[in-house]
Amino acid sequence: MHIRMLLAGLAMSMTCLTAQATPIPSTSDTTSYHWVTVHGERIFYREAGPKDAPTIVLLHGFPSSSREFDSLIPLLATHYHLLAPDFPGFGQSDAPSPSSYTYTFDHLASTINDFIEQLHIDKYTLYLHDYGGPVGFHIMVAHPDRVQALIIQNANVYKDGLGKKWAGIAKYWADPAAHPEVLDTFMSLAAAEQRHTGGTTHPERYNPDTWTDEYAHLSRPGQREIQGALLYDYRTNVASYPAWQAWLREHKPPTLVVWGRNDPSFVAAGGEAFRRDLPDADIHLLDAGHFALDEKNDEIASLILDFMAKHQP
Amino acid sequence: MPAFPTYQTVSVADRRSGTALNLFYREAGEKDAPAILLLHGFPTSSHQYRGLIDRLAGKYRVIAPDMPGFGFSDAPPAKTFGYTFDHLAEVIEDFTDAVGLTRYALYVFDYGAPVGFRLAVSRPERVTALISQNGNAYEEGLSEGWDPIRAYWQNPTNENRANLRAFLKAETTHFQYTHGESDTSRIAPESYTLDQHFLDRPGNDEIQLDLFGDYQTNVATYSRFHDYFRAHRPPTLAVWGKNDPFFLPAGAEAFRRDIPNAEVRFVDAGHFPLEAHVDEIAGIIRAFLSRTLDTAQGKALFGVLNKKSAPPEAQAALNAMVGMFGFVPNLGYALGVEPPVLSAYLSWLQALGTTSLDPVAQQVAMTAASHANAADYAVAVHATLASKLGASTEVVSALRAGSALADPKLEAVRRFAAAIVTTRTQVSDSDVNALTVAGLDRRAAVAIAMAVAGKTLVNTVAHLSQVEIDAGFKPVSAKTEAA
Repeated sequence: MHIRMLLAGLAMSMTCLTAQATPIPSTSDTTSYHWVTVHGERIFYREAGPKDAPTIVLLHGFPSSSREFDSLIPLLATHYHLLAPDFPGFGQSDAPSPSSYTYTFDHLASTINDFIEQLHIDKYTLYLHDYGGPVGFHIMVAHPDRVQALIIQNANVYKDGLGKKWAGIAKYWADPAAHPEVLDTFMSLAAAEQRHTGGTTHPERYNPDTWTDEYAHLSRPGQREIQGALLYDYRTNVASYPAWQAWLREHKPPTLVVWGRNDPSFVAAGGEAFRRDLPDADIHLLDAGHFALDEKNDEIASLILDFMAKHQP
Repeated sequence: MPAFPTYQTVSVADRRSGTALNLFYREAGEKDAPAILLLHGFPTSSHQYRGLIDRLAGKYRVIAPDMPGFGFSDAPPAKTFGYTFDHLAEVIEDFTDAVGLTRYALYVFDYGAPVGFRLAVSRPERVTALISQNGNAYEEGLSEGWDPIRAYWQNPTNENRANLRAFLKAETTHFQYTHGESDTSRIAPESYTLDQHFLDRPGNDEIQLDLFGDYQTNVATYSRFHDYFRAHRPPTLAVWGKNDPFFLPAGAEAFRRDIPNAEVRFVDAGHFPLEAHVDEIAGIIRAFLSRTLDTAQGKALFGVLNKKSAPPEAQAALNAMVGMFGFVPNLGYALGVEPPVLSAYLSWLQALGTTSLDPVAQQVAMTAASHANAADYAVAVHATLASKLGASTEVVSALRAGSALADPKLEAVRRFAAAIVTTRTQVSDSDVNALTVAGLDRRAAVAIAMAVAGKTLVNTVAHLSQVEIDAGFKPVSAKTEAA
């Protein structure tokens, strides 16, 4: 009689566990905002979490900044040390004119690598989104022994992932001067909003602070030249895809792919393609867009915490 | 997920012109939970509440609109709209109707205060509680920082108006966020950069200059706000950054003149404490609301609790409590409604007493857990017991205040116990390190976990039953506390 009641009680409590999502512990107690000078350039970064915990370096996308990680960071800062820099030309970092700083992904990567070294971080997990992808890959290829694990979120390394709009951008690559309209669209408020809300069935869940902040940044003097240079240099990333894929095949970092599958720019096939070179990769296609964190922040945080627990000593 | 914030717009018809005004607002929380209306200040928008909303939406329906002229709401030109605080209040009152806010706690900051207090005066029956965070209603709260604006009130010349443009500059916005903050690395720059983006919109300068001018009507209206405070005495919390360059601490204390029971708390912060101190403030607010807003159903559940209402099966345990405390604590009657639970709790207390944890450390653990649960009753009990066990007056005061302890071992216990509560049992490596560095071991960890678990029981019952803190647990004069 007693055992039956005990088991009945247990069964009830199990269904209760699955019925409700429990909030993930979070802390913003340790989040801080800093500027540091790296070879004469002021680089802004966010930092959080215990300094003696394993480090995750988060590399943002276009046209955002470390700000895109502001809801994710408190959920990871309970267990990990987070560093999220703003690239030169973005966010709160300096945006020197192209005449004094060459805007290529290779150069952004070298500055960000110097930033990481300056903070004496010699081992880290990389979280890569969008532009953070090529920046991160340049860094990894140059310093393969430093990367402990990889988290890829809508950061493209396969031609399969290039959505329709890249055909238009290819025209810009062929002759930038002849296609200012491509850059106009790229820098517009409408495009900034679309990168967040495009394809969602829940537009009311999207915080307009994000694209408003991004567009305010893009409207600053000098940005057109800077972003034009980087958009043009993006062609070298596509040319590097085979080399980066080979690097993955050779080094096989533990990899988590969390991909917003409704992203029109880097389509779902780009997320799945990692399986070709990383058969053991943990790949999740989420019902989200290009800025997958906008709608799936907590889910992505859970996936990261589980992934990191599996792969950290 | 009910706590997911949404970002929406609602249209209200301007009472004066009839034109439709689109008002942007952030909302989170269950629609049938007690509502809190958050009114922002200058030069910001509902954006300032992003962190607070996350921390309150689990329990409350939180709504934060952008006032006309601010944030993502419509900003009709100054010449046609006529930006006055009366006008803003009309629009926000209509907003509350549009989103179905019939009863709400009112959280006001800066400009949100004159707007919010006008709402309260107009419809006092709708306001369930008042939270002022650097939201002024008294002359003594206005600092010298207002002098250039006062000059414009006294003499509304073009020159005096032009002088006020200094308040619209990026340096001033940055100053508003960083002044009075000891660690500016805790201030997210997107707070002031987004504000500045909205201020820099063409035409926004005239709107803001008009509002600086109209602020004098607020000062003239203060006495009406005071009449409302005195007549209605809403449960009131004033939680202020004490280093605010524009609104002085005296402005917070002044609420007590008309609302004697007002809780007044100061945070070591500037004008925008929600940037770097949101957890502290959210904790203060949650404790205040759970004491004032969330009490009706629990109280109704428990009814009157005393010797007469106690079930006979609880008698033996209640007598045992007299043996332990010298009297039956009010909480004993609340637990005693379910006699096996009261008996189990007393056995539990005895078992805790025989663990390897030092007696004062046991009380520290229980106080820390209770503090994290905003359980004033249990904080009072365990601080008193710590005193009776020989803890120093410094330790006892710190326990009552929930502040850090000087002794490293006791502080490690305090931290660990609080962490169990705040992380919902998933303590981090840092918390464990702090324990072992202080010389405590796995036995201590398990004993502290037990201390915390017991508090989950009694803190829950105390919150529900809202039992009064017994006289025997209240702080006494320093002399007798140390005895």
